[in-house]
Amino acid sequence: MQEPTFLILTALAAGPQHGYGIMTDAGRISEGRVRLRAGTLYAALDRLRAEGLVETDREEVVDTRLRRYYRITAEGSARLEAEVRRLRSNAAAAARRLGLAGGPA
Amino acid sequence: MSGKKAARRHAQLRMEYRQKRLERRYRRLLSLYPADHRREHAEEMVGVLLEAAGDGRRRFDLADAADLLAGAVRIRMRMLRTHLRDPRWPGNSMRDPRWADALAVASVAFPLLLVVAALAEMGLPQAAVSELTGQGPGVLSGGYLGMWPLTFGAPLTALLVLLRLRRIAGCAALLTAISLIVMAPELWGTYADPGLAVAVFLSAVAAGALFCSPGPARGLVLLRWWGAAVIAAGALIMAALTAGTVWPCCDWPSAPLAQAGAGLTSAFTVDISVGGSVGDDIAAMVVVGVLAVIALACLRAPVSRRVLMLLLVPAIPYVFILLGIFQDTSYIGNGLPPGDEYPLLLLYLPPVLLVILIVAVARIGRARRVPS
Repeated sequence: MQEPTFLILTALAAGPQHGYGIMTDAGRISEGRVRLRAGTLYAALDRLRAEGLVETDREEVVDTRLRRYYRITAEGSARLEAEVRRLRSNAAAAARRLGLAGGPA
Repeated sequence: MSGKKAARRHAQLRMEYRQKRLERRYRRLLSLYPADHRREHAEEMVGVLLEAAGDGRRRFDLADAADLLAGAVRIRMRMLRTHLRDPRWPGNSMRDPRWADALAVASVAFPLLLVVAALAEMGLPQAAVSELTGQGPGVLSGGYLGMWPLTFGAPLTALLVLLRLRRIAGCAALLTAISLIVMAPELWGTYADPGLAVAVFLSAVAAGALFCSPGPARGLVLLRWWGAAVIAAGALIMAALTAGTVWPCCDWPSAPLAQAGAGLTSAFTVDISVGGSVGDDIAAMVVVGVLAVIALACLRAPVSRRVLMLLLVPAIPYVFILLGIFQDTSYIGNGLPPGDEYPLLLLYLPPVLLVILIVAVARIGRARRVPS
């Protein structure tokens, strides 16, 4: 799973969000390391919707602008969970080999 | 006081102007996205982009612009991949069932006609016989492989058609057409060759028919037992051309028989079919006869008028070959300019115009059937 995808799904795992909300949340989750931009976000959302991992939650009009909220689907949650397990296992293996604290002895 | 008010008003107007300009620029970039995506997301994306730009910063962000551009490319590539994976692609592009059926018939007939054209162009069967009999230039010598777009493209396309591999056959036909066009100056020395024109139009229309119709599976159903006749006709032409070599006819310049008996040769031979020096009058008549059988087989199909229109495309340059057969040993017996001065426009423009007309007619037909 690519990092933007992971960040989008993680952002939506907390609850439905609109596009700008996802962008700012992704920045927070990555501690400012990743700045998600509109082109990347909507290309990813387009794909994730096609794959059934996210869906539209609701639409609002704020200051004459359309705001669409997205939410993660059950399949999206399952995929994110699998990715978390994979990353955790990889990170644990790396920590073990490096003898870092937190890795199993 | 009024000065401050005016300044505030001025600043507000300036900000609004900048915001509008920024929005215009983003919208211009969003026009690169597919129409469906724009309909669904453009307003939302403009909102997000302006929100991300913030009140304090109204400048056009180049990184955002590059990201939007990359996003448009990604979405278009994904759409293309989805489109290519669609099992109906590209057979769903001809929605008028009558034209789809006509093209299905053409998807069988044209590759077979292309094989006939290739055989006539190369004289390959004669070469095989001459190899066996010791007369003539022999098989695969004298540049038969030099005609490689036809040598390989035509039989490969026909084989794939008979295996009913529509899309792969379409690719083979398209590659044949492209390689004929690209290699013509090197292999034929000129584009002004009616045989070349026939082969180009046969392979191009075959590719179009294979891509835009249900393909050979449907075509063979429509042709009924005549479909078998078409295939038999292909075999017959091969036999006829092979038989041609045993007649005293060779006009290959290097053939010992031709050198020994030039008078006899000129009395019997004509430059026939599809540009090559194939054989004698009888072989030429057989070629024409077999082509007529194929045409008749196609005309027996339920969509005969449309098939006839399609057959006219390669038939136009073929007319000039027939003129050569019936009038003289060249294509230009009727006062037309000789050899490579043959008018290109006369060979290529009418068939191209006919193709445009057919596409226009098919689209009008479709529009009538689908009033939306």
